[in-house]
This record gives sequence, structure tokens and C-alpha cells, in this order.
Amino acid sequence: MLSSKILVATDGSAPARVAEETAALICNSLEDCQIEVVTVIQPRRRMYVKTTPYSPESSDEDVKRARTLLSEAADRIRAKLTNPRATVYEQLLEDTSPAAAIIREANAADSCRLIVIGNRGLGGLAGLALGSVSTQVLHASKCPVLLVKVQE
Amino acid sequence: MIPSNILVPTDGSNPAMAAEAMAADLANAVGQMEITVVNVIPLTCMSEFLVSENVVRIKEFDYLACSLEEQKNAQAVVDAAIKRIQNIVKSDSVTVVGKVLEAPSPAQAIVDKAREKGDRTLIVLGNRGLGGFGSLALGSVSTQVLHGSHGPVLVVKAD
Repeated sequence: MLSSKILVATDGSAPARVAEETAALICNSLEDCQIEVVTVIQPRRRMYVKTTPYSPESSDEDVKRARTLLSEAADRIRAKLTNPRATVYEQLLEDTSPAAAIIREANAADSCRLIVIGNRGLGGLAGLALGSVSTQVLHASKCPVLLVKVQE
Repeated sequence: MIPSNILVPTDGSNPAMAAEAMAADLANAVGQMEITVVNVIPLTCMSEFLVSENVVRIKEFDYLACSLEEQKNAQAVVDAAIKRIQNIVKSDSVTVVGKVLEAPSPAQAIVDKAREKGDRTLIVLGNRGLGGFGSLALGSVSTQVLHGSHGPVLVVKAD
């Protein structure tokens, strides 16, 4: 079933930008729709704290950078929207696994959102057909996933 | 850009039927759309003792053609899928067509078919088909299509 709720995961990379645009275009075809644009911060490991083996914490700078990225992405999406009943909202997620965060968010509030994602993000090898986050989302998501391809 | 063609590979499995329904929903939303349903008969390598009168033709030298029976079954799968999609489609400007393909690699056939349909083609497929084992999150054909496709692919999840 085609959901009117769309989640687009972005890191500002070229494939992610195409995913943003695709989400907007799908939204324009629907009667009303909500686009949730998300980006995930991976908390840095605090190397010198021995008491806790792992302490998720992101620096203020990470958060600031992610917020800027999100608002720019949301602006790009709004610029493509022609549907007056469309809404865009931003969501900053924090998780050691970006894929897990995206999947959890897509399933939030008991409604399965359509996930729109690019074939690869900023990490990993250039030339990879399918990045690690996209692959994990495709495998583990219970919600439908639209994979947008950008050829290099 | 918004797709003008949707390619739905189906084998009649539950995930494939979910993909058919998704394709129909999308077509309803967009309005103008051509939905192409395909079922691919995998051609196996020829080995001489397998050749019988049941074999109808040889597509490529190295590959054994599929039997009439296989073709009939594949056509039935496609026809049933077309019917299911037409039941959901509301608009007259949505056309639903079907095709049986024969190829050594189903995934390659799907990717090639999508490419042939043009830039504005979206592939909608189920997470897994009838092959493989039940709990697999993503089947081999779906995985290969995701990797090999030049255009967007929408994966629909079902058990």
C-alpha cells in the first residue's frame, strides 16, 4: 500500500539529493503527504573514558553541521513541491548505526513510511553500486524502500 | 523525474503481489502510466540428453529453450498479475501490459527490459520471489536488480 508518509534519508551526497527530489515528486502526485527528511549523526567514541566502554556523544559541531545539512535538504525539497497539502519536517537522528536509525524512524508512530534513499552516500568506496547503509536498509526494513540510482 | 513506466517483475509470490498492488497505487497517484508486468523463465544451460520433443526452440546456442509447459505457466502468471493490477487501477490513462521473457539470468532480463523502456522507468519488485529459502530478507534476483539497475527500484516487503 502506498503511504502518504515519506521518509527521505540524506547526507547531502549526490544520490541523496536525487532521493530528496524524488520524494518531492512522489509527494506532488499524492493528495496530501508528509515528507520527513532525516539525517543520522554517528556518535563518536570517547576514547579515554575507561569506565564506560562506549559513550555515545556527539560534539556540538557535529550537531550544528547536521542541522544545517537538514535544513538545506528541507529547503531543496520545498522548492520542488507543488502540492499545497504537502508538509516537510526535519528530524535529526543519533545512532551508532545509521541504517537502524532510519528503519526505526520509518516504523515510528505505528505507520510504515515509504523510505526513499540514494544508492550510496558519502562513506565507503566511490564506484560502489550500493553503499552499506542503503544495503542494510534494503535488507532489514519492513517498510517499502525506493532506491534511487545515480551513475558515476 | 516522475516515472512514466513501471516495470513489475512477478512470479505470483506474496511479495510480488504486494509489488503489483504498489505499482497500481503509484499509477493511480500519478495518473498517466504504463505498467509492464514481466515474468522471466530462466533458461538453463543446454546439455544434450535434456533435449526432447518438449523443447520448442533454442534461443541461443548454449541455452536450452523452455518447454511449452513453462511458457504456458509463465503466461498464466502474467495474466493473473495483469488482472490483479487492473482491479486496483482507477484511471483510463493507466495501461497494463504483460510479457513473458526468457533469459539465462532473470535479473539481467529485468534490468535490460527497464533500460529498453527508457529513462523514466521505475522497477517495483518484491523483496523475494519463490526461489531461495523462506526467511531471506532479500532474494537473489531482487539483490541483483538493485545492484545492476540503472534507474530507481522500489522494493516492497512482504512475507
